[in-house]
Amino acid sequence: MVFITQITWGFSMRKNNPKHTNVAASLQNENGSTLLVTLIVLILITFMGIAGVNTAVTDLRITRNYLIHKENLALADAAVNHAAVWADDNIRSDVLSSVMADLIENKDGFYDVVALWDADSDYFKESDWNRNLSPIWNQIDVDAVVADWDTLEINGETITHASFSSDEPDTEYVVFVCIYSTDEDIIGEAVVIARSRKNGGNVIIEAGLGNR
Amino acid sequence: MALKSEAGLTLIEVVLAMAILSIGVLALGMMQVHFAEGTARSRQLVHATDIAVNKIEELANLDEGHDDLQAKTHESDSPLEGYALDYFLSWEVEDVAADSDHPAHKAIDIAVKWRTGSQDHEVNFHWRKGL
Repeated sequence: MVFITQITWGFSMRKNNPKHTNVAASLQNENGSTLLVTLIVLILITFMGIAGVNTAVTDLRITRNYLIHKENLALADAAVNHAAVWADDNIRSDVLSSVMADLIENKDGFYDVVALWDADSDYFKESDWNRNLSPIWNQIDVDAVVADWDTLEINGETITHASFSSDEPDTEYVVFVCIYSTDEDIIGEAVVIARSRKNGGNVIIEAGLGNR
Repeated sequence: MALKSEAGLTLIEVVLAMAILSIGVLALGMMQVHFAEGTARSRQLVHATDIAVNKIEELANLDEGHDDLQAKTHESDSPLEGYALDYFLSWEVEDVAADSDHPAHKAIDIAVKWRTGSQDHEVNFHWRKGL
């Protein structure tokens, strides 16, 4: 406000001064123009500098994200390998399916899919699923599982995630196992959903496992 | 006649303008150095990450008995070929016995190290391979 008043005052002073009555003449006064042009160039340089800094920072962020993604991908892959080894070792055709179901129920991160199906859970896609016709990896709604990841539950009981190492608490997995007997064999199928969120990353891997 | 007019170009103005412009150009030059360093650092991180990920892929496809999967620290004294900088790859393999919570598996930590000037850099990856 003070600034405007001063300008107005200056203008009126000039208007009253016989030397400055001609506005065109005052515009022809070039005093200070070099400094003005220099300042404008300096401002342009500053904008170029800011743009350059932004580019460099963005570039580094992209690289960091790439690194974090690859790191989490390796960890999620490790979790799937971990689950696959356990499933391969333990889902065996020489063990009764009921015994195997108990074995699975007592292990963190592993859940009998029949309980999930019986609970009419949102994580299960169909209510008239025929295990002999449709493998379990077509039936688990991975998006729903991931959306509820920290509050997963079956029949009101919280699902505990498994971890392949206490050193990697940000990498977890959950396995839904389906075991059933046919006339000839016991068949085991499983879906592993591994999630790694180290350093703010978020990688999810779904893998289907089969054993018979 | 008008071109010969030196109105608006006093010596003080020129000196002042040159001084201000010099500061600006100097700052821009320094920023260029930082941009170049940032870009180089990004490139190094991408190279190191790719080296580690490629090694994981390689180890994933090896048989359990392969030399590269024996329980020890594997490292080479010579840098990897094909890169402008010297990247050193090492990986430590540990055999983890089965227990109530974990099946037997190999815990593999992969490290890629490189140096720029007097500064050491390192990227680490943790991975597990089933037996």
